[in-house]
Amino acid sequence: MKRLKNLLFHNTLKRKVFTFMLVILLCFLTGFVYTFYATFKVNKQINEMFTTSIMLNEMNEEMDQFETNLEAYLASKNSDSFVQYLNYYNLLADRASAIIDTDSIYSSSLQMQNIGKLLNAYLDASENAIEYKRGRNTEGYLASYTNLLKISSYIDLKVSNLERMDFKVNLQNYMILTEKFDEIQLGLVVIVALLIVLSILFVFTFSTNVTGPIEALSKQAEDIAKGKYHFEREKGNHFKEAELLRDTFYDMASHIQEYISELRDKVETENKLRVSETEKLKMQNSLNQAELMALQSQINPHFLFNTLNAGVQLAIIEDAERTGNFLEVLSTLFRYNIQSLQNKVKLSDEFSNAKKYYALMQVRFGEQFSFIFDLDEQVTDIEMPPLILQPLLENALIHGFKNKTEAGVIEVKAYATTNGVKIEITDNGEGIPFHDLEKLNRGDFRKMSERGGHTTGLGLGNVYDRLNHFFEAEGIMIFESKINEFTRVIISLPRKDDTTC
Amino acid sequence: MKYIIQALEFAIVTALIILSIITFNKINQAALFEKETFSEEKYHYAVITDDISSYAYERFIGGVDAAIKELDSVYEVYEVGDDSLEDVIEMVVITQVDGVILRLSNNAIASEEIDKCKAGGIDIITVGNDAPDSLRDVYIGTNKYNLGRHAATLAIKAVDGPKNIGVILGSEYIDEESIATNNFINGIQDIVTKNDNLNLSIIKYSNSIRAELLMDDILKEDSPINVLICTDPVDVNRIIRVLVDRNKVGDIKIVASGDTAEIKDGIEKRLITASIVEDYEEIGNMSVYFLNRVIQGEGVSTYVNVPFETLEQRNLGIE
Repeated sequence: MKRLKNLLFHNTLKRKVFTFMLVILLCFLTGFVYTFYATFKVNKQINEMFTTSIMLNEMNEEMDQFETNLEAYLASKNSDSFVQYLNYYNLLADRASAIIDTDSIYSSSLQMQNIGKLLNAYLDASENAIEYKRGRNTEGYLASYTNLLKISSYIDLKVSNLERMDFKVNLQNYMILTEKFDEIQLGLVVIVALLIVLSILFVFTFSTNVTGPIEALSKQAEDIAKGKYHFEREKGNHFKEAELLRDTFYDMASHIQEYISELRDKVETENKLRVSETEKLKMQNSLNQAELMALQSQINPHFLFNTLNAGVQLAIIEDAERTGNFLEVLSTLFRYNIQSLQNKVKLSDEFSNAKKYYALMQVRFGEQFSFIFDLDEQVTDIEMPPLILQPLLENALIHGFKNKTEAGVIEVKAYATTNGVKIEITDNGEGIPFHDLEKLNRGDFRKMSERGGHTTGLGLGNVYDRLNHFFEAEGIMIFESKINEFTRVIISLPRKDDTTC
Repeated sequence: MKYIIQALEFAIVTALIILSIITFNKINQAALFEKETFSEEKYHYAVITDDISSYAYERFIGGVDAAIKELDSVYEVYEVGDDSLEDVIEMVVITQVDGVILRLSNNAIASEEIDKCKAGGIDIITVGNDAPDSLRDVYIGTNKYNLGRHAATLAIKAVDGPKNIGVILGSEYIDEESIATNNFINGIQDIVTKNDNLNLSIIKYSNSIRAELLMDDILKEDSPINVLICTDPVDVNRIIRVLVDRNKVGDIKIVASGDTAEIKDGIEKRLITASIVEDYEEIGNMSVYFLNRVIQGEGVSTYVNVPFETLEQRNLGIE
């Protein structure tokens, strides 16, 4: 019952096949019934046309036999003839009754009713003749027999009239039937032809309906296999199985898409992580290198630091105040230099260290160089990596005035900007050639770093990397220069919070 | 593509439905002609006649047929000729018809058979001419005496001066001895005798010789006629053809009978002076109604005169 309900009320493939077969079957059944009905009706009408003629023909033959036997009996009183006569009498009496009967098919035929009545009169005449014969009334039976023959001729006349009329009507009917039947046959042929075409169309529609959604899904499955996950969803009211297949397919495709998306995100995250790790490693490597270099350089500074302290004490004992100050500054500078590069310092510390460096360089170079410091009070507490300014000053001092005899001026300036802090180190040295300047601004410090010996050992590259890592930003340090006029290093520290840019 | 197929399917289904309805109707329309629709309740009449091919019969039987249909009765026609009147009467008695309409050229000679019918319980009326000595219930027809008088009067009007009248009697006047023939001729004679310039010289019957031959004979007569009275429309057409062929149009005036298209055309073209129109259709119609009333036991007149009309140029709207 449930299965029948499913079959009838759900748009399933089974129901579709069932309906399709039923429709095709009904089409052809209708065509068949229609053809059968037409043939049956025409056949029935043709039969009707000849029913009366057949019956009258049989009646005439029976009348002939009847008269022959009656005549034989009247002539010889032959009992066999009488028996035969009675048989035919009964047959004809039955026919007369059948004709006159109001329920008979002849009840609507006036001529048949006349024949029935004449037949009864005919049989009565035969009875009279038999009676007269038995009563040995020769004149009577001859008169009755003559009357019988006369009535027989009336019957013949009526039959012949009826057949003549029937023939006329039947001929008309035959013509009509033939004409109509030709038209009906043509109509039936066209109906059958249309049914065949309709069936073909039904088959086509049915197969398209059944295979259409599956084909569409197959194409989309191919797309998915090629990596195309974005496709238009198939719409339309298909049969239940196709819809289930479609929905399941789309669910599956959606899940695959989500999974792949997740996988992609994961890979991207991992890549980022890997890059970050690499950066970190590189950074660590740089730091390690820097620290190694610092440690290497600490050997002398520690020794020198202790020695210098001893020198300071000696200078105090011997009242050599200037030497004592020099050694103290040198000692302070060394102390600043040997701190870890991972520390954070304030901008004021960097300026202080720079000034100490200037003090030492003044002892060394005298009036050949002069340093100008300009630190905005607002930005003194800005945090930054240590040993940024000193390497830049060293660089300016060594490379900026290498081939220059005029007095050098190096200006160190720090001021607040809307986005953070700017530090400018400007010298009036010989400048940097254009192609070198471009390299520097691209972050390529190889050539510069290779130069050493007169500095802390921390090259521009190191300064650049540490700034970038500290502030997690690119392009913090840029170079401007004009040959024989100036070179300016601009450090733009982005603002992070109140203390850190 | 999908919509094209759907449209095609829809068109085919529509065509199938229309075609099926058309074919179904054709099958049903292919019903046979009903041979008869007789039933015991209907009155069954017999028309006995010795003339089944004349213009008068066609009109008469048309009237009978219309009345029979109106009364939902049936009738059959017995032609006296191949079968004797006696046999026919015996047949109608055996087959127990309800009524007989007797239309013979001379009903008077059938008085005995009429009486047999009445003895067999069958009502009978005579039409066209009467059988006054029989037990017939009703006579329906035109007064032939008056008809003859009127024909003669029209003949007088047709020609100025002395008139020599000829008569060709058609299907209704086959029997020279019938009452109808006698009455018609007597009617003409009545007018002729009252006019000195009038003479009835020729009386011919077209039942045995065709009217063209009769007309040829008339034209060969020593004393030519001026006016010809013709009682059958078919004969009139034939006579006119002869007159045209012999270039005698206008030499002999024609007083015709009937209102066929040819006769009206002849009047319009002045080939025919006038035409007397007996209403045979009305006779047929009335014979059925009167017989029906007789069968139902109603009292009816035993003599019913059906008037005749005259067709002339003036009442055809030509003059």
